[in-house]
Amino acid sequence: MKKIICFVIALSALMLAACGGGSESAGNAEGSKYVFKTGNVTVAMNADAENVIANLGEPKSYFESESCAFKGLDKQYTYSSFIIDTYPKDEKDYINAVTILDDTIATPEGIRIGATVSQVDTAYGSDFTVLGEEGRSYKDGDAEIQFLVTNGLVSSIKYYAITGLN
Amino acid sequence: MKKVFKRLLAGLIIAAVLLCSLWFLQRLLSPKYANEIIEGRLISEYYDNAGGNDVIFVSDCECYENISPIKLWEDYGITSYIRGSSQQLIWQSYYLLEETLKYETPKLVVFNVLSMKYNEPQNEAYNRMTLDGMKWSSSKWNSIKASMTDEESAITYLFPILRYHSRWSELSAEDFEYLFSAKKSFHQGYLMRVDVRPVEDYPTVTPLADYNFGDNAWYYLEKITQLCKDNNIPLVLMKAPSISPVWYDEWDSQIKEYAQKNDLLYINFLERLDEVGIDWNTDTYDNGLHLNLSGAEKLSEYFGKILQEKYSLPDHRSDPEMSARWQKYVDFYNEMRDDQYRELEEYGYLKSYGARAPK
Repeated sequence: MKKIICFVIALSALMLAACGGGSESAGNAEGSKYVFKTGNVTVAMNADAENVIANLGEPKSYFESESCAFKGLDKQYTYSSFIIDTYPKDEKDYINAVTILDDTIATPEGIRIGATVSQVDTAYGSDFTVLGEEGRSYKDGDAEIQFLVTNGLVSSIKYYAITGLN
Repeated sequence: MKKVFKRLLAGLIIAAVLLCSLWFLQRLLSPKYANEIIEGRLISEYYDNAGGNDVIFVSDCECYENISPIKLWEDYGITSYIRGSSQQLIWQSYYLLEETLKYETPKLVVFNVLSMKYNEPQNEAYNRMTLDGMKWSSSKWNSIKASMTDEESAITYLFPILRYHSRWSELSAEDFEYLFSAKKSFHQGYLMRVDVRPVEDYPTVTPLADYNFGDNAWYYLEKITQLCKDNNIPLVLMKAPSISPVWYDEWDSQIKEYAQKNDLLYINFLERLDEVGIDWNTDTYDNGLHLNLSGAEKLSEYFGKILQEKYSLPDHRSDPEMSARWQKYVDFYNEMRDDQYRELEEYGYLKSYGARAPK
């Protein structure tokens, strides 16, 4: 009988003990070396989007979508040469992705659409995951940068936020 | 001997009290999804009226917000249920279908293919909304194992109090009000919204690194197909008409090829917007992600005709028992529709149905 009572008490203690609450956080406080820059504005993944969007000025187009069930809006700001996507959390918006659309903008490491695969390798190194046949994905901290490659040339560059690291 | 018996009895009573307390606390602390994020109750509501459906839909929001089983009944006498949940992943659809077939044997299964885009577990909050509501069975356990992200542990699904114990400081009146009962909000799995928020802009389509669906997604689509075959139930694949998330042409081609190879009907309603009669100015409540009641009824009217003609689904409206049962659902549907229009009139938005206030 003592065993049964001990088991039930142990089970109760286990259940009531402080265990991982599982609250999600907006990205990793450590950040990432992979950031997008345009003019004087630096766009880091998982950063608070408010100032970034304010500093970038009026977008060419704007699209928002409610997430299924949860409150808040996923937002997409399209500028002439790039797109910024944000995600909502705790009534604020955070940077979720940046997509470079044309060759007028280069990454801080000097890669733009049209660059060769070897130029990407030189700028970013060999620590990558292959995407498709020749594409590259580099991760650091809470950000990932992807280079899509078509016929040996970069056809798309996209930064993604890596969320839920904390 | 008497002493031993007394001690044994006392021990059993203590153990029973402790277990009851834990069970009570678990019920109290688990989210009720009563007035906010009501989608968390979609899965559990099925068990109240399980059985008796000729068509079962398994899907994410692309069915439970876009298809009205009540309209299918009213127009065609088709009995149906949507086993839908938010961001339902394809393995969750498979296990939900497997579970549903233990309660009933439909004449047709419809699966919406958007979830093919996900190859891996995604998000605990969405997992919870699908998995916590399922009754315990091997299907639930397998779905948990297939769905968990790296940060989750199975024991928190076995004993949700382990996950929700910290909610004690957030408890509200609804936690007590719905401690032993649940609010009824859905119409055979359909989530109604009558408000209108027209499409003003379209998302910019960005390229993907890889357009091929993942192996895991294919594996579960094949399992769904096989499960239906094993039970002699025709399977229909559909893609709901929504402008976001983007449904890439490359994805569509893969589904078309799969459907052809497996002799399945596949309808991409994005290609039939005019035939269905969808007007993005009036038929969506969230800029084109989901249809509102007007859009869902148009889609159901169009889809129901195809399903009835192609699969000879019986018209049950002349069956008195079935009619009586469904009349209750129709009454509740009309009641909610009228109440939503009343709220729209009064507040300008669906205040108590989870809508956001106009800017």
